[in-house]
Amino acid sequence: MTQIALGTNTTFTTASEGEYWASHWGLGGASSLADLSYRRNEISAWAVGIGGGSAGAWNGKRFQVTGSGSRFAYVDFYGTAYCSSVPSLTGSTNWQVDVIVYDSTIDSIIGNMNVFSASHSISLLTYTDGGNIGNSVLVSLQATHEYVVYVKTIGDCSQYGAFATTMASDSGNYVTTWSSIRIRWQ
Amino acid sequence: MAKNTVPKITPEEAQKINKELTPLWGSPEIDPAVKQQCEEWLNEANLIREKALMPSSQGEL
Repeated sequence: MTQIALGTNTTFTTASEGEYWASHWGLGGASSLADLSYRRNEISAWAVGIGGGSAGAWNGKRFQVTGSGSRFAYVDFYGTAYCSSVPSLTGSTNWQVDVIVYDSTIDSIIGNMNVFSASHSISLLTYTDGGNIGNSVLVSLQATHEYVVYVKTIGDCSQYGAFATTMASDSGNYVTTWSSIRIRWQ
Repeated sequence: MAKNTVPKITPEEAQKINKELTPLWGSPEIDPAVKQQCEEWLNEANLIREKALMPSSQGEL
């Protein structure tokens, strides 16, 4: 496992782990992937008629802090995330991206910032949401503790009529990709 | 992951389907009972999703 010394600024550019999940009901579908090679989350959900789907993925970096004591640090996240959604006249879509700091030693999320959150319903339009992730989370990191810093993408759609609904963040530029995560000690 | 009931529908395909269906359905009324059931399915799924996407405290597997 990667170790970083308390007080030494560090930038991660590779992912060490991730998870993905998808489920659907009725006349729906969903897919998800956490692609560690490209530090990318790919999720989508769709439905036609009555049904829906829900999906999510995250990927990031696990590390341990060495040294002694504890100190505040900014965790800077860089990257992009985009989603294309079609809610239709009888449906809805949701999409959300969060940057998160998880303390594995105490099994608890110690920092969480919502970067994007988009909900659409009852519309014939196609919506594009997202942009640069660029956000910082201030946390206190403790020596000997193990942490996971990661980017999480979740989304879903629901169709309760006769039309087609989709939430797509799984191809081309329409994905979530982080480029680097920096630990900046204060 | 369970096999999807419906093949993937992209935003472009959804727009095409909706364009074809609009003349048939116009502006359909939404059945509140159906909508409520759909929202319940969605809420149940999203609760499971939240738990499934927590990192492991056991370290890299």
